[in-house]
Amino acid sequence: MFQVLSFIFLAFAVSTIWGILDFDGGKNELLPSFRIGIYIFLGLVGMAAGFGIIITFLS
Amino acid sequence: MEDYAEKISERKSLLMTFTLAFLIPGGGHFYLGKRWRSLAIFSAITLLSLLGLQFFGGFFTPQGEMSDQSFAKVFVLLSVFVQLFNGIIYLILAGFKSSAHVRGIPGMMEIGGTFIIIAGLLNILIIMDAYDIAMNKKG
Repeated sequence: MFQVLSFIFLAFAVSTIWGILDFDGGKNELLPSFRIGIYIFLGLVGMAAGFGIIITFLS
Repeated sequence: MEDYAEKISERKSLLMTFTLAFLIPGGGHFYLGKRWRSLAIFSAITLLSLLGLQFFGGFFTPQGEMSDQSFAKVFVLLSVFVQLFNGIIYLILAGFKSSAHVRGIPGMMEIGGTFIIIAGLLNILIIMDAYDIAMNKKG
């Protein structure tokens, strides 16, 4: 459980920084950057879950 | 108004931006006037690196057939190099905590190492972002 929480935190930190790096100043850029951050978070968590399921079936 | 903004950006020193961004995660952005961004960067990177330090047990080293001496040393060398980009707070605390790592939770030791490496790599990206802002390539 602790490992899962630590991974979720890691994904949150990475997606936050990704969103900030994508942000390009203007106020109209704020929402797309926020959206990209959410996509990255969901992508990382989804990829980890997918690999977890595949590895569980293979082992 | 835009000319005024450009003049402010021109007055900012590139060396100062680099130094602050290296010493404090988000320091470069703070210096360039991006206060909210610097706060978010500082919170994320510092929390990541300090939690990593709390769990840290050792960096990844190749095992088994891959544990060739020079190959393993390259991995450890890269990990230690990246660790230097975690900011001065992390480096000071890492010096104090070098012999007092939390142990006992299975799998957490390497996760700690991964946190530290990723925080360092993200801070390298942030330093490059601060450079782009300082050079007026980005807002």
